[in-house]
Amino acid sequence: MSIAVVNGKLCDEQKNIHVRNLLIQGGKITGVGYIPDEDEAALTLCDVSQSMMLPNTFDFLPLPEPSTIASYTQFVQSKGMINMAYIPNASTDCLDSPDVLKGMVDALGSLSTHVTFIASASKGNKANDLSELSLLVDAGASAIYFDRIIENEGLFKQALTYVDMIGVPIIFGPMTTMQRQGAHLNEGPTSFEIGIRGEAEQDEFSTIQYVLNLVQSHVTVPVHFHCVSSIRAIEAICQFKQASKGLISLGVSPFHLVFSDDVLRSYNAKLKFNPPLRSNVTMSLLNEALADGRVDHLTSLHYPQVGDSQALSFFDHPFEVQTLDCFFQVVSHCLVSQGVTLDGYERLLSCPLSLSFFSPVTLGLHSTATFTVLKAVSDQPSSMVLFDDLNVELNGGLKAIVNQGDLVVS
Amino acid sequence: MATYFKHCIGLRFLTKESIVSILHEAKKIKSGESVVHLGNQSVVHVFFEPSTRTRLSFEMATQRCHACPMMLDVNTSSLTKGESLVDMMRNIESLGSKAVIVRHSNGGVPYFISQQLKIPVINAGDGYHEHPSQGLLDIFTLQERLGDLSGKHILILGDIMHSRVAKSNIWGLLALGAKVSVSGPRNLVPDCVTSWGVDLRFDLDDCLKEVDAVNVLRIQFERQHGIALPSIREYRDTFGLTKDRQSLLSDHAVILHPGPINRGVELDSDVADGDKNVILDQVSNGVFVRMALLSMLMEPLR
Repeated sequence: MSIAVVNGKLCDEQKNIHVRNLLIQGGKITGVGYIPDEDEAALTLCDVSQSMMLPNTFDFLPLPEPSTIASYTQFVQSKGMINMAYIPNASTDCLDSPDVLKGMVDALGSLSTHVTFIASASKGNKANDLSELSLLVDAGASAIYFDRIIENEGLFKQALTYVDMIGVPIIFGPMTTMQRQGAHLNEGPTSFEIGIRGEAEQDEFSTIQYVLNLVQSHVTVPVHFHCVSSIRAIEAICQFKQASKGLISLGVSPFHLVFSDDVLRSYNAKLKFNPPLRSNVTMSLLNEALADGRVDHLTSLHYPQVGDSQALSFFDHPFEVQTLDCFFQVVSHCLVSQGVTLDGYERLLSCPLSLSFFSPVTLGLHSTATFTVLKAVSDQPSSMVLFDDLNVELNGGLKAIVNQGDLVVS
Repeated sequence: MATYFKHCIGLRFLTKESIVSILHEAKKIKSGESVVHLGNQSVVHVFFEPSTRTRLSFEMATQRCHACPMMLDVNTSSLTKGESLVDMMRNIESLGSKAVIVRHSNGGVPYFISQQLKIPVINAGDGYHEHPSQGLLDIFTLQERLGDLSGKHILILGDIMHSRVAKSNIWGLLALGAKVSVSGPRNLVPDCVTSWGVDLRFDLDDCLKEVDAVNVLRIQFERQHGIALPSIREYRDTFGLTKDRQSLLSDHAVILHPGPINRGVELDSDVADGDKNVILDQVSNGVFVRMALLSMLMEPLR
């Protein structure tokens, strides 16, 4: 069967945008620009006018059950996320054992070209002992994940110095102390109203400042903040980036750009993010940061479904939101609404360049036909139900997913 | 007059009409004009947090409604065997209970239960979210003393941040048109209440001269995370309702307290036992208000 994806936009290495028609046969791109005169019955035509074709979509994802890693990776790819870096997950595995990591690399087989691992800096992702960092890198980890280790300043400094010696990038997890402090959402009117303790944006900013001070004095390797949710924290990171000319980048979740903590007034545990959804004011400021280029990556904050959390109240529900089903719809809405330039689509949804986890793919003749297509125009907003019960108006949208030559969504 | 509402989770969720109808029903019950007869239907009381006043008041209200109160001891329940809260509540419903009264230390738990059950759920206090029956009985008591509360100025004094009573009072009083002010240590009074239409008053002595009632909150050491107050002595001097401060109140003003009182902390004994206090009226009225809730939420047997 042949598929013709026509009128889609592509970004080349020089950030120039081209309109391309692609012919896909046997999982590969067999024609670019010119569509052969195929028998119409055998040709599936997919018109993606005014849309961007993205062959390098990437995200950081908490690790699923190690035994399911191959099937889970395929599931994630079927949702349009082509490359992924697995990060420690307290519910499954903290990526602190070289043997377990090696086993997962082996289990992935050919999928491993789209997957990398970010090993935990500390055992059990806690703040007591260092992991075997060099052995983890030898086993396949391409970066080290710093989460709760930052609570122990002495160990934190040692880990920074050691990782700098190894020479791999550092990824920082959420800069909140919510799980340690027993907070469950943003501090402010909503947390007061619904009677559940929150954590202030100021706390995230303070933690970022503390971390940046130590990063400045201890490391030269690339540093990435997985998800930042407050504007002062973003400003602090951007200032640091300018002052140090260091390889530093930051991610923001598109869900923090479309939802404020208002949606938690009815104890909606399906949106219990860490970092938490912030206020309406912050939501607007984060959108401005996206528009003016201060954001380097858009992250889904998606968690694998582990166990049954449906029978838990908001208070007891873990910080584990399933977002992949609507991630690209929401991303497209954010990009379109903020007027992000087309080359920005590729930049914000690919692996930050400084991390160099994957070589960028260009869709050309004989390359594997795997890409995600997002609408890039603001047409009539459409009403969508997200997370089962939230009705929102979204611009743009997910136009198509092509996975190994199969048209998954159109 | 009666207004439909399925559960009583918080006064935030109730309309003005619903609040007025509950208070009206409580008044009729107190006067003897209305007799509630729920025909021995079972009402299960599930208290995950210690309680004396509220538990007894609900138990008495259930009995006086001619319903059958069933007290569940959570320490010996199947929760200790790992059963989920939802499954336990669904079992209670399947056993034939016609209403559930829940107290829990975590905010949102009664709301969560109400989403899972078909029978009415009454919140008897959840974390520092709300304590709607306390809010209603405070308002009922105020109405008895002050009449229509529209335009009346009520001060809520103390730890607003951690108080579920404060929130229920604020929502209820605002719905009825009262002017509400809050006062207390700056770190225990969140600014965001101003967006609800509540005034922040840190000039306590001046404010006391203006108000029609003061609702003095208990300092809830158990709900504060870390030490929020320098000392009890400092709190009493700065925000305690002492005999001297009581003298600043106008003649008609009344003093409420949800209990239990920390004598010598938020309220001096002279004030707690003085003629301005309506604390025991609150306790008595609590039974009528809770009877009104049960009668309006439960179907009478025909």
